[in-house]
Amino acid sequence: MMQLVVDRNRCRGHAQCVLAAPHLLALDSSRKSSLIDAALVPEYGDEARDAELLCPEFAITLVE
Amino acid sequence: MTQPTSLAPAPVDQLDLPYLDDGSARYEKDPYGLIEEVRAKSWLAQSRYGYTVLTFAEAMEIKKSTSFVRIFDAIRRDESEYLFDKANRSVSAQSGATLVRMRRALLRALRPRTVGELRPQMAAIFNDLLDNLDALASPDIVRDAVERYPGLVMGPILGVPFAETRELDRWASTINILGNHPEYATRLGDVEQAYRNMEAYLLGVIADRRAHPSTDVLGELIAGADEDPEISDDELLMLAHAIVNASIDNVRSQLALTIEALVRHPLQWDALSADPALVEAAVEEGLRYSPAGDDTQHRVPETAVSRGMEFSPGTLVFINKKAVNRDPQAIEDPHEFRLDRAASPHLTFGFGLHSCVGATLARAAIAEAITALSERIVSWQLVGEPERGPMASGGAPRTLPLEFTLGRRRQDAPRVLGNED
Repeated sequence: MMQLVVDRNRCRGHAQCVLAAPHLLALDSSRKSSLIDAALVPEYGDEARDAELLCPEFAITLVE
Repeated sequence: MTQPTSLAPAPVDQLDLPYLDDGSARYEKDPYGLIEEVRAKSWLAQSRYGYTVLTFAEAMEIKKSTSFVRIFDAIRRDESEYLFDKANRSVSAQSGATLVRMRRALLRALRPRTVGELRPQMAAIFNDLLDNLDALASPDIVRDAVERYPGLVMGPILGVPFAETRELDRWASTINILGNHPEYATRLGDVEQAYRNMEAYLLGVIADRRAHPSTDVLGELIAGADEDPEISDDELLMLAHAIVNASIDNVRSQLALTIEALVRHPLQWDALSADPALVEAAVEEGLRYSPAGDDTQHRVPETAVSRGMEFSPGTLVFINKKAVNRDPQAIEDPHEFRLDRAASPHLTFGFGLHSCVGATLARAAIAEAITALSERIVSWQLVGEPERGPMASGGAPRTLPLEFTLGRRRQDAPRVLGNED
Protein backbone atom coordinates (compact mmCIF):
# COMPACT_ATOMS: atom_id res chain seq x y z
CA MET A 1 0.00 0.00 0.00
CA MET A 2 1.44 3.32 -1.09
CA GLN A 3 1.63 5.85 1.72
CA LEU A 4 2.55 9.52 1.77
CA VAL A 5 3.88 10.76 5.09
CA VAL A 6 4.18 14.48 5.91
CA ASP A 7 6.48 15.43 8.78
CA ARG A 8 4.71 18.49 10.19
CA ASN A 9 7.72 19.41 12.32
CA ARG A 10 9.77 19.90 9.18
CA CYS A 11 7.10 21.50 7.00
CA ARG A 12 7.55 25.25 6.61
CA GLY A 13 4.71 25.91 4.22
CA HIS A 14 6.66 26.46 0.97
CA ALA A 15 3.68 24.79 -0.79
CA GLN A 16 5.88 23.16 -3.43
CA CYS A 17 4.10 19.88 -2.66
CA VAL A 18 0.68 21.48 -3.13
CA LEU A 19 1.75 22.60 -6.61
CA ALA A 20 3.16 19.15 -7.37
CA ALA A 21 0.28 17.13 -5.89
CA PRO A 22 -2.91 19.20 -5.95
CA HIS A 23 -5.07 16.09 -5.60
CA LEU A 24 -3.29 14.87 -2.50
CA LEU A 25 -2.01 17.78 -0.44
CA ALA A 26 -3.26 21.15 0.76
CA LEU A 27 -2.03 23.72 3.26
CA ASP A 28 -4.10 23.68 6.43
CA SER A 29 -5.02 26.64 8.63
CA SER A 30 -1.53 26.69 10.19
CA ARG A 31 0.07 26.75 6.69
CA LYS A 32 1.37 23.21 7.00
CA SER A 33 0.98 20.60 4.33
CA SER A 34 -1.64 18.00 5.06
CA LEU A 35 -3.00 14.98 3.25
CA ILE A 36 -6.47 15.42 1.77
CA ASP A 37 -7.34 11.71 1.59
CA ALA A 38 -4.85 8.89 2.17
CA ALA A 39 -6.93 6.57 -0.01
CA LEU A 40 -6.19 8.71 -3.08
CA VAL A 41 -2.40 8.29 -2.88
CA PRO A 42 -2.16 5.17 -5.12
CA GLU A 43 -4.35 6.81 -7.77
CA TYR A 44 -2.06 9.86 -7.94
CA GLY A 45 1.23 8.04 -7.50
CA ASP A 46 3.16 10.38 -9.83
CA GLU A 47 1.96 13.41 -7.89
CA ALA A 48 3.00 11.76 -4.63
CA ARG A 49 6.48 11.04 -6.01
CA ASP A 50 6.95 14.61 -7.21
CA ALA A 51 5.77 16.01 -3.87
CA GLU A 52 8.44 13.93 -2.12
CA LEU A 53 11.15 14.98 -4.57
CA LEU A 54 10.29 18.68 -4.53
CA CYS A 55 9.88 19.39 -0.81
CA PRO A 56 12.80 21.72 0.06
CA GLU A 57 12.57 20.71 3.74
CA PHE A 58 12.58 16.94 2.99
CA ALA A 59 9.35 16.76 5.00
CA ILE A 60 7.58 14.32 2.70
CA THR A 61 8.28 10.62 2.41
CA LEU A 62 6.66 8.25 -0.04
CA VAL A 63 6.50 4.68 1.23
CA GLU A 64 5.81 2.25 -1.61
CA MET B 1 0.74 25.97 -25.09
CA THR B 2 -2.15 26.66 -27.41
CA GLN B 3 -1.68 28.68 -30.56
CA PRO B 4 -4.37 29.86 -32.95
CA THR B 5 -4.56 27.16 -35.63
CA SER B 6 -4.46 29.74 -38.41
CA LEU B 7 -0.97 30.82 -37.32
CA ALA B 8 1.70 28.31 -38.23
CA PRO B 9 4.65 28.45 -35.83
CA ALA B 10 7.54 30.49 -37.22
CA PRO B 11 10.95 28.81 -37.30
CA VAL B 12 12.95 30.74 -34.76
CA ASP B 13 15.99 31.09 -37.02
CA GLN B 14 13.90 32.97 -39.57
CA LEU B 15 12.67 35.56 -37.10
CA ASP B 16 14.24 38.96 -36.71
CA LEU B 17 15.21 38.56 -33.06
CA PRO B 18 17.40 40.99 -31.14
CA TYR B 19 20.90 39.84 -30.20
CA LEU B 20 22.08 39.56 -26.59
CA ASP B 21 25.87 39.52 -26.51
CA ASP B 22 26.40 38.09 -23.05
CA GLY B 23 30.10 37.69 -23.76
CA SER B 24 30.63 41.39 -24.40
CA ALA B 25 32.43 43.92 -22.24
CA ARG B 26 29.13 45.82 -22.12
CA TYR B 27 27.35 42.81 -20.56
CA GLU B 28 30.08 42.41 -17.99
CA LYS B 29 29.91 46.10 -17.07
CA ASP B 30 26.14 46.67 -17.25
CA PRO B 31 24.27 43.38 -17.72
CA TYR B 32 20.93 44.72 -16.55
CA GLY B 33 21.01 47.76 -18.83
CA LEU B 34 21.81 45.58 -21.84
CA ILE B 35 19.12 43.05 -20.89
CA GLU B 36 16.51 45.85 -20.58
CA GLU B 37 17.32 47.12 -24.07
CA VAL B 38 17.03 43.68 -25.61
CA ARG B 39 13.96 42.61 -23.65
CA ALA B 40 12.09 45.74 -24.75
CA LYS B 41 12.15 44.18 -28.25
CA SER B 42 11.41 40.52 -27.49
CA TRP B 43 11.15 37.89 -24.72
CA LEU B 44 13.60 35.77 -26.69
CA ALA B 45 16.98 36.93 -27.93
CA GLN B 46 19.49 35.35 -30.18
CA SER B 47 22.73 34.73 -28.35
CA ARG B 48 26.15 33.33 -29.08
CA TYR B 49 25.28 29.63 -28.98
CA GLY B 50 21.51 29.66 -29.40
CA TYR B 51 18.65 31.62 -27.90
CA THR B 52 18.20 33.27 -24.52
CA VAL B 53 14.92 33.65 -22.63
CA LEU B 54 14.56 36.98 -20.84
CA THR B 55 11.13 36.84 -19.19
CA PHE B 56 9.77 34.98 -16.17
CA ALA B 57 6.54 33.48 -17.53
CA GLU B 58 8.19 32.16 -20.69
CA ALA B 59 11.10 30.77 -18.66
CA MET B 60 8.64 28.89 -16.45
CA GLU B 61 6.88 27.45 -19.48
CA ILE B 62 10.15 26.17 -20.86
CA LYS B 63 11.17 24.76 -17.47
CA LYS B 64 7.85 22.92 -17.20
CA SER B 65 7.90 21.66 -20.79
CA THR B 66 9.31 18.24 -21.56
CA SER B 67 10.26 19.48 -25.05
CA PHE B 68 13.17 21.44 -23.59
CA VAL B 69 15.62 19.14 -21.85
CA ARG B 70 17.91 20.52 -19.22
CA ILE B 71 21.62 20.09 -19.94
CA PHE B 72 24.52 20.99 -17.69
CA ASP B 73 26.14 23.40 -20.09
CA ALA B 74 26.52 24.13 -23.74
CA ILE B 75 29.94 22.58 -24.08
CA ARG B 76 30.57 21.01 -27.47
CA ARG B 77 32.36 17.75 -28.08
CA ASP B 78 35.00 19.44 -30.22
CA GLU B 79 35.86 21.84 -27.39
CA SER B 80 36.61 19.12 -24.84
CA GLU B 81 35.66 15.47 -25.24
CA TYR B 82 36.26 14.93 -21.52
CA LEU B 83 34.06 17.79 -20.29
CA PHE B 84 31.37 17.02 -22.85
CA ASP B 85 31.16 13.48 -21.52
CA LYS B 86 31.15 14.57 -17.87
CA ALA B 87 28.60 17.31 -18.48
CA ASN B 88 26.22 14.89 -20.12
CA ARG B 89 26.46 12.41 -17.28
CA SER B 90 26.02 14.99 -14.52
CA VAL B 91 22.82 15.16 -12.45
CA SER B 92 21.94 18.45 -14.13
CA ALA B 93 21.82 16.77 -17.54
CA GLN B 94 19.49 13.91 -16.53
CA SER B 95 15.79 13.57 -17.06
CA GLY B 96 13.04 10.99 -16.56
CA ALA B 97 13.64 7.91 -14.41
CA THR B 98 17.40 8.53 -14.06
CA LEU B 99 16.78 12.01 -12.66
CA VAL B 100 14.17 10.71 -10.22
CA ARG B 101 16.56 8.00 -9.02
CA MET B 102 19.42 10.46 -8.57
CA ARG B 103 17.33 13.14 -6.89
CA ARG B 104 15.92 10.57 -4.49
CA ALA B 105 19.46 9.52 -3.56
CA LEU B 106 20.34 13.17 -2.80
CA LEU B 107 17.22 13.53 -0.64
CA ARG B 108 18.08 10.39 1.30
CA ALA B 109 21.50 11.79 2.14
CA LEU B 110 20.21 15.23 3.14
CA ARG B 111 17.03 14.24 4.99
CA PRO B 112 18.63 13.18 8.31
CA ARG B 113 19.82 16.75 8.82
CA THR B 114 17.40 19.27 10.25
CA VAL B 115 18.43 22.73 9.15
CA GLY B 116 16.92 24.33 12.27
CA GLU B 117 19.38 22.40 14.42
CA LEU B 118 22.33 23.60 12.34
CA ARG B 119 21.46 27.29 12.59
CA PRO B 120 23.04 28.08 16.01
CA GLN B 121 26.32 26.59 14.76
CA MET B 122 26.14 28.68 11.58
CA ALA B 123 25.55 31.84 13.66
CA ALA B 124 28.42 30.99 16.00
CA ILE B 125 30.82 30.43 13.08
CA PHE B 126 30.00 33.73 11.38
CA ASN B 127 30.26 35.64 14.68
CA ASP B 128 33.67 34.05 15.28
CA LEU B 129 34.81 35.10 11.82
CA LEU B 130 33.68 38.66 12.57
CA ASP B 131 35.52 38.60 15.93
CA ASN B 132 38.66 37.47 14.14
CA LEU B 133 38.58 40.57 11.91
CA ASP B 134 39.73 42.64 14.93
CA ALA B 135 43.20 41.16 14.71
CA LEU B 136 43.70 42.17 11.07
CA ALA B 137 45.33 45.41 9.93
CA SER B 138 42.85 46.08 7.11
CA PRO B 139 39.99 43.63 7.52
CA ASP B 140 37.64 42.93 4.64
CA ILE B 141 34.29 41.34 5.49
CA VAL B 142 34.10 39.44 2.22
CA ARG B 143 37.73 38.40 1.82
CA ASP B 144 38.34 37.56 5.47
CA ALA B 145 34.95 36.28 6.68
CA VAL B 146 32.54 35.43 3.85
CA GLU B 147 35.25 33.54 1.92
CA ARG B 148 35.82 31.18 4.85
CA TYR B 149 32.28 30.81 6.08
CA PRO B 150 30.71 28.24 3.70
CA GLY B 151 33.66 25.89 4.07
CA LEU B 152 33.45 26.08 7.86
CA VAL B 153 29.69 25.54 7.80
CA MET B 154 29.51 22.92 5.07
CA GLY B 155 32.72 21.04 5.89
CA PRO B 156 31.30 19.23 8.95
CA ILE B 157 27.96 18.68 7.20
CA LEU B 158 29.65 17.10 4.18
CA GLY B 159 32.31 15.40 6.27
CA VAL B 160 35.27 17.30 4.83
CA PRO B 161 38.06 18.98 6.87
CA PHE B 162 38.13 22.78 6.57
CA ALA B 163 41.53 22.87 4.86
CA GLU B 164 40.13 20.66 2.10
CA THR B 165 37.03 22.81 1.70
CA ARG B 166 39.25 25.70 0.54
CA GLU B 167 40.56 23.49 -2.25
CA LEU B 168 37.06 22.23 -3.11
CA ASP B 169 35.83 25.83 -3.24
CA ARG B 170 38.59 26.75 -5.71
CA TRP B 171 37.86 23.74 -7.95
CA ALA B 172 34.11 24.31 -7.78
CA SER B 173 34.35 27.97 -8.70
CA THR B 174 36.51 27.03 -11.69
CA ILE B 175 34.16 24.23 -12.73
CA ASN B 176 31.17 26.53 -12.35
CA ILE B 177 32.62 28.74 -15.07
CA LEU B 178 30.94 26.19 -17.33
CA GLY B 179 27.74 28.02 -16.39
CA ASN B 180 28.80 30.95 -18.55
CA HIS B 181 29.83 30.00 -22.06
CA PRO B 182 31.69 33.12 -23.18
CA GLU B 183 33.81 32.81 -20.06
CA TYR B 184 34.61 29.12 -20.27
CA ALA B 185 35.59 29.28 -23.91
CA THR B 186 38.89 30.88 -22.86
CA ARG B 187 39.47 28.72 -19.78
CA LEU B 188 38.75 25.17 -20.91
CA GLY B 189 42.15 23.88 -19.76
CA ASP B 190 41.64 25.22 -16.22
CA VAL B 191 38.10 23.88 -16.04
CA GLU B 192 39.17 20.44 -17.21
CA GLN B 193 42.00 20.31 -14.67
CA ALA B 194 39.67 21.41 -11.84
CA TYR B 195 37.15 18.76 -12.86
CA ARG B 196 39.84 16.05 -12.85
CA ASN B 197 41.06 17.20 -9.42
CA MET B 198 37.53 17.18 -8.01
CA GLU B 199 36.86 13.75 -9.44
CA ALA B 200 40.05 12.25 -8.06
CA TYR B 201 39.26 13.75 -4.66
CA LEU B 202 35.71 12.37 -4.65
CA LEU B 203 36.86 8.89 -5.72
CA GLY B 204 39.15 9.00 -2.68
CA VAL B 205 36.24 10.02 -0.44
CA ILE B 206 34.07 7.21 -1.81
CA ALA B 207 36.77 4.61 -1.17
CA ASP B 208 37.38 6.02 2.30
CA ARG B 209 33.68 6.02 3.30
CA ARG B 210 33.28 2.46 2.06
CA ALA B 211 36.07 1.44 4.42
CA HIS B 212 34.94 3.79 7.23
CA PRO B 213 31.19 4.51 7.05
CA SER B 214 30.09 7.89 8.46
CA THR B 215 26.86 9.78 9.10
CA ASP B 216 27.82 13.04 7.34
CA VAL B 217 26.12 13.84 4.02
CA LEU B 218 28.79 12.20 1.85
CA GLY B 219 28.79 9.15 4.13
CA GLU B 220 25.00 8.86 3.94
CA LEU B 221 25.06 9.35 0.18
CA ILE B 222 27.66 6.66 -0.38
CA ALA B 223 26.05 4.17 2.03
CA GLY B 224 22.62 4.79 0.47
CA ALA B 225 23.93 4.36 -3.07
CA ASP B 226 25.72 1.15 -2.16
CA GLU B 227 22.44 -0.26 -0.84
CA ASP B 228 20.56 0.74 -3.98
CA PRO B 229 21.35 -1.66 -6.85
CA GLU B 230 20.05 0.88 -9.37
CA ILE B 231 22.69 3.51 -8.53
CA SER B 232 25.89 2.80 -10.46
CA ASP B 233 29.35 3.85 -9.28
CA ASP B 234 29.40 6.45 -12.03
CA GLU B 235 26.08 7.89 -10.83
CA LEU B 236 27.38 7.96 -7.27
CA LEU B 237 30.40 9.96 -8.41
CA MET B 238 28.10 12.42 -10.20
CA LEU B 239 25.91 12.72 -7.09
CA ALA B 240 28.87 13.45 -4.83
CA HIS B 241 30.07 15.94 -7.41
CA ALA B 242 26.69 17.68 -7.49
CA ILE B 243 26.62 18.07 -3.71
CA VAL B 244 30.20 19.25 -3.26
CA ASN B 245 30.21 21.50 -6.29
CA ALA B 246 27.10 23.37 -5.22
CA SER B 247 27.59 23.68 -1.49
CA ILE B 248 30.55 26.02 -1.04
CA ASP B 249 31.18 28.26 -4.05
CA ASN B 250 27.49 29.07 -4.54
CA VAL B 251 26.82 29.93 -0.90
CA ARG B 252 29.92 32.12 -0.73
CA SER B 253 28.98 33.95 -3.92
CA GLN B 254 25.33 34.45 -2.99
CA LEU B 255 26.19 35.72 0.48
CA ALA B 256 28.75 38.19 -0.90
CA LEU B 257 26.25 39.46 -3.48
CA THR B 258 23.53 39.87 -0.84
CA ILE B 259 25.85 41.77 1.49
CA GLU B 260 26.85 44.04 -1.38
CA ALA B 261 23.18 44.74 -2.15
CA LEU B 262 22.55 45.60 1.51
CA VAL B 263 25.57 47.91 1.70
CA ARG B 264 24.43 49.73 -1.42
CA HIS B 265 20.89 50.23 -0.08
CA PRO B 266 21.29 52.06 3.26
CA LEU B 267 17.55 52.59 3.83
CA GLN B 268 16.87 48.87 3.47
CA TRP B 269 19.86 48.10 5.67
CA ASP B 270 18.57 50.45 8.39
CA ALA B 271 15.15 48.80 8.22
CA LEU B 272 16.78 45.37 8.57
CA SER B 273 18.98 46.45 11.47
CA ALA B 274 15.88 47.74 13.26
CA ASP B 275 13.77 44.66 12.56
CA PRO B 276 15.42 41.21 12.58
CA ALA B 277 12.20 39.70 11.19
CA LEU B 278 13.20 41.15 7.80
CA VAL B 279 16.16 38.76 7.45
CA GLU B 280 14.22 36.16 5.48
CA ALA B 281 13.01 38.89 3.11
CA ALA B 282 16.59 40.12 2.70
CA VAL B 283 17.80 36.61 1.81
CA GLU B 284 15.02 36.13 -0.76
CA GLU B 285 15.36 39.59 -2.27
CA GLY B 286 19.14 39.07 -2.48
CA LEU B 287 18.58 35.82 -4.37
CA ARG B 288 16.28 37.63 -6.78
CA TYR B 289 18.20 40.88 -7.14
CA SER B 290 21.67 39.43 -7.68
CA PRO B 291 21.66 35.69 -8.39
CA ALA B 292 24.96 33.81 -7.96
CA GLY B 293 24.59 32.23 -11.35
CA ASP B 294 24.21 33.30 -14.92
CA ASP B 295 21.98 30.98 -16.90
CA THR B 296 20.62 27.46 -17.15
CA GLN B 297 20.89 25.59 -20.40
CA HIS B 298 18.35 23.51 -22.23
CA ARG B 299 18.47 21.53 -25.44
CA VAL B 300 15.62 20.75 -27.83
CA PRO B 301 15.79 17.04 -28.71
CA GLU B 302 12.90 17.16 -31.19
CA THR B 303 11.13 20.04 -32.89
CA ALA B 304 9.49 22.14 -30.16
CA VAL B 305 7.09 25.05 -30.25
CA SER B 306 6.79 27.77 -27.62
CA ARG B 307 4.70 30.94 -27.99
CA GLY B 308 4.40 30.49 -31.73
CA MET B 309 8.13 30.00 -32.23
CA GLU B 310 9.48 26.74 -33.58
CA PHE B 311 12.83 25.39 -32.39
CA SER B 312 14.59 22.79 -34.53
CA PRO B 313 16.25 19.70 -32.98
CA GLY B 314 19.59 20.43 -31.34
CA THR B 315 18.83 24.10 -30.67
CA LEU B 316 20.21 25.40 -27.37
CA VAL B 317 17.99 27.59 -25.24
CA PHE B 318 19.37 29.51 -22.25
CA ILE B 319 17.37 30.92 -19.39
CA ASN B 320 19.11 34.04 -18.13
CA LYS B 321 18.55 34.34 -14.37
CA LYS B 322 19.47 38.02 -14.20
CA ALA B 323 16.85 38.76 -16.82
CA VAL B 324 13.97 36.65 -15.50
CA ASN B 325 14.54 37.74 -11.88
CA ARG B 326 14.08 41.36 -12.96
CA ASP B 327 11.27 40.93 -15.45
CA PRO B 328 8.91 43.92 -15.00
CA GLN B 329 5.99 41.65 -15.99
CA ALA B 330 6.74 39.42 -13.00
CA ILE B 331 7.67 41.95 -10.34
CA GLU B 332 7.04 45.63 -9.70
CA ASP B 333 10.06 47.95 -9.83
CA PRO B 334 12.37 45.03 -10.60
CA HIS B 335 15.58 47.05 -10.33
CA GLU B 336 14.82 48.14 -6.79
CA PHE B 337 16.21 46.12 -3.88
CA ARG B 338 13.38 46.22 -1.35
CA LEU B 339 12.63 44.26 1.80
CA ASP B 340 8.94 45.17 1.94
CA ARG B 341 7.84 42.99 -0.97
CA ALA B 342 5.07 40.45 -0.44
CA ALA B 343 7.22 37.99 -2.43
CA SER B 344 10.46 38.02 -4.39
CA PRO B 345 9.88 35.57 -7.25
CA HIS B 346 13.13 34.26 -8.74
CA LEU B 347 14.64 31.32 -10.57
CA THR B 348 17.98 31.45 -8.77
CA PHE B 349 17.46 27.94 -7.35
CA GLY B 350 15.81 26.75 -10.57
CA PHE B 351 12.43 25.06 -10.67
CA GLY B 352 10.99 21.56 -10.56
CA LEU B 353 12.95 18.32 -10.44
CA HIS B 354 16.19 20.14 -11.25
CA SER B 355 15.75 22.75 -8.52
CA CYS B 356 18.52 23.03 -5.95
CA VAL B 357 18.20 20.35 -3.24
CA GLY B 358 20.35 22.41 -0.89
CA ALA B 359 18.17 25.53 -1.11
CA THR B 360 16.97 25.38 2.50
CA LEU B 361 20.48 24.82 3.80
CA ALA B 362 21.81 27.67 1.66
CA ARG B 363 19.03 30.04 2.77
CA ALA B 364 19.73 29.23 6.42
CA ALA B 365 23.48 29.77 6.04
CA ILE B 366 22.97 33.13 4.33
CA ALA B 367 20.30 34.18 6.84
CA GLU B 368 22.52 33.46 9.85
CA ALA B 369 25.38 35.50 8.40
CA ILE B 370 23.09 38.42 7.57
CA THR B 371 21.56 38.25 11.05
CA ALA B 372 25.00 38.44 12.68
CA LEU B 373 25.89 41.46 10.53
CA SER B 374 22.60 43.21 11.26
CA GLU B 375 23.17 42.73 15.00
CA ARG B 376 26.77 43.89 15.01
CA ILE B 377 27.49 46.39 12.26
CA VAL B 378 27.28 49.82 13.89
CA SER B 379 27.99 51.58 10.61
CA TRP B 380 29.41 50.69 7.22
CA GLN B 381 30.10 52.52 4.01
CA LEU B 382 31.47 51.45 0.66
CA VAL B 383 34.73 53.30 -0.08
CA GLY B 384 35.80 51.63 -3.31
CA GLU B 385 34.76 49.13 -5.93
CA PRO B 386 34.93 45.39 -5.15
CA GLU B 387 37.09 42.92 -7.02
CA ARG B 388 34.79 40.41 -8.67
CA GLY B 389 34.81 36.69 -9.40
CA PRO B 390 33.53 35.09 -12.61
CA MET B 391 30.26 36.10 -14.23
CA ALA B 392 29.24 32.45 -13.98
CA SER B 393 28.95 33.01 -10.22
CA GLY B 394 27.05 36.25 -10.70
CA GLY B 395 30.18 38.40 -10.64
CA ALA B 396 30.20 37.98 -6.86
CA PRO B 397 32.55 40.27 -4.90
CA ARG B 398 35.79 38.66 -3.71
CA THR B 399 36.58 41.83 -1.73
CA LEU B 400 34.35 44.61 -0.46
CA PRO B 401 36.17 47.87 0.35
CA LEU B 402 34.23 49.07 3.38
CA GLU B 403 34.79 51.43 6.25
CA PHE B 404 32.92 49.76 9.06
CA THR B 405 32.51 49.67 12.80
CA LEU B 406 31.69 46.38 14.40
CA GLY B 407 29.88 45.95 17.70
CA ARG B 408 30.24 43.05 20.09
CA ARG B 409 28.48 39.75 19.61
CA ARG B 410 25.37 38.93 21.58
CA GLN B 411 26.18 37.64 25.06
CA ASP B 412 24.53 34.28 24.50
CA ALA B 413 26.39 33.45 21.30
CA PRO B 414 29.05 30.80 22.03
CA ARG B 415 32.45 30.74 20.35
CA VAL B 416 33.25 27.68 18.26
CA LEU B 417 36.40 28.68 16.38
CA GLY B 418 39.84 29.54 17.64
CA ASN B 419 41.51 32.69 16.35
CA GLU B 420 43.09 30.62 13.60
CA ASP B 421 39.76 29.03 12.55
